[in-house]
Amino acid sequence: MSGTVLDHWLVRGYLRELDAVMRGLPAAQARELREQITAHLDDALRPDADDYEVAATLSRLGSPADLAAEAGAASGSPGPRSTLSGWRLATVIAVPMVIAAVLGGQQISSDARTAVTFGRDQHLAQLNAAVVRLTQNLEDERDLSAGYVAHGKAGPVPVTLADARTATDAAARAVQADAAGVGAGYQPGTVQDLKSLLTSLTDLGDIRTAMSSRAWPASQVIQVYTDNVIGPVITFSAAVGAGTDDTRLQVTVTTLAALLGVENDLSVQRAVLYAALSAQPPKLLPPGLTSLTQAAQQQQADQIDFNASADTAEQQFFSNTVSGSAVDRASMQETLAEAAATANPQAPLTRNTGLDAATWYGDMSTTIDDTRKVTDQAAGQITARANTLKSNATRRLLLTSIITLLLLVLLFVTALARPLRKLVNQSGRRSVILGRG
Amino acid sequence: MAGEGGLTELRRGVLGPCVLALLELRPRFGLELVRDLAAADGLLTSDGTVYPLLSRLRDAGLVTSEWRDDEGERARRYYSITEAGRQSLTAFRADWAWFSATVGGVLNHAAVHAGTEEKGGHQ
Repeated sequence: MSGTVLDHWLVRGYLRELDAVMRGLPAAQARELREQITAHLDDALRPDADDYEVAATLSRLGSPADLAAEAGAASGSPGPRSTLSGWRLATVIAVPMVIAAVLGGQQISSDARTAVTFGRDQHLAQLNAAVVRLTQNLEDERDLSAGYVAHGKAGPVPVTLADARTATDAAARAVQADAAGVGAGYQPGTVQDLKSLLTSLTDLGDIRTAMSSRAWPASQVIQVYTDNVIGPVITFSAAVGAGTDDTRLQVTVTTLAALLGVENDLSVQRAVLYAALSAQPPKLLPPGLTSLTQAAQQQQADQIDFNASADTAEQQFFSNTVSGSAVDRASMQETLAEAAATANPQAPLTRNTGLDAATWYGDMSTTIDDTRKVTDQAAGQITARANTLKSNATRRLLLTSIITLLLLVLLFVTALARPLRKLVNQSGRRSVILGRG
Repeated sequence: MAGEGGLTELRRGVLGPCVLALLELRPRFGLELVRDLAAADGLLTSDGTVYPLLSRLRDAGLVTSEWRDDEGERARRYYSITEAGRQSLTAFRADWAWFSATVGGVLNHAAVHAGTEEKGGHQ
């Protein structure tokens, strides 16, 4: 016969609760009270008592919390109420809060790092936009300089060249201003490339002086500008995407680098032929012809790079933008010049070809300007993307901080609510076991 | 709520002597005590509170307990009053008589006093 009322589900629940609330009492006292209560129930209830009888008896007995409190008050022991002040307080309040604080803190710090990284990307994108403008101004200055030198430096520096130099200087100042602050925390390679760019800008004055005072041929002017200044500038622009975690940003930077290559290749072609047509007499000698065809080949290679990284819409935009009669005319003039120079390098280039320095420069400039529209769009996309990433990261950081804070407050409040509810229960309210039937 | 709390405090104070008074007649086991106390209307707020009280009285030396294994019955812990318990009970009886008389007197006097003030104001 296992028939004892102590196996009744209501009694078991009651005793379990009693054991729980007596955890703060001395062991002997808890044992005694439990023994008294089980004896009471054994005496008071038949083994086959129904739920209602059991519930009524338990209800008359009073809540386990009341009993434990009474026993605690009797012994002068801390009692169940104040067990929360010891190590249980730590488990109930401190541990979850510490865990929440640590996890939240980790997330915040990770988000903060992301925000800082995207902040750097944003800074670099802004700097890059200035660098793209500088590249374009440098190309113009180089090409006009080549023509001026080829023309025999007759007379003062032409207004167009002077204007180009002024524009370059303004763009260089903008780059120098935006470059401030790029250093610690940025990709070392990017920092190094920026340093090279800034150093090359200080060479610009020397190049201009040397061009006037020394007997540099046009080809050397083109080479010095390209290798010493424009090269480092384009290299930096390609390095802007090196540190970013965002694939879209990286791809757009690659696209832009290819476009800057195309643009510069076109510009070199403009410079070489412009110098040849500006020479007295106009001639495209074999080294010049080689430079021209090399630049055209490089343009094809860069165009392939562009197609590889640009999406269909960007490719479409390129072919729609870099087109028109001026573009076709420039292409025709170049083919014509190459054919004439190949046939007879010594013959004046303008004879029987209809070629002329100003027309060539104008038509090729239109082609280059069209390309720059595509370049500018890519640079704009980079800036926009970087701005979006930065503001998203900042918003996320803010959100994580707020959520963590709310979580901590919530944990604190719920942790306090339990002991408070206990206090309320102990000061008179009975647990209504009857309500469960 | 204040009245309820006051009554609880009063019960807490007199329950011990009442237990002693019951044990003075004969030893009893837990449920027996609880039933006898519950029979006195309004003395117990909850049955369970008797048990910590019994432990307290035992710790104070006013009550002892022993297991009794009567034939045909289960083993039960019986509580009986000690000599110190009897003395304590005697002392309480004297105190209670004086205390209830004093409190009753003050309460009645106050009620009478309040009645005259309402009618005639200050004398």
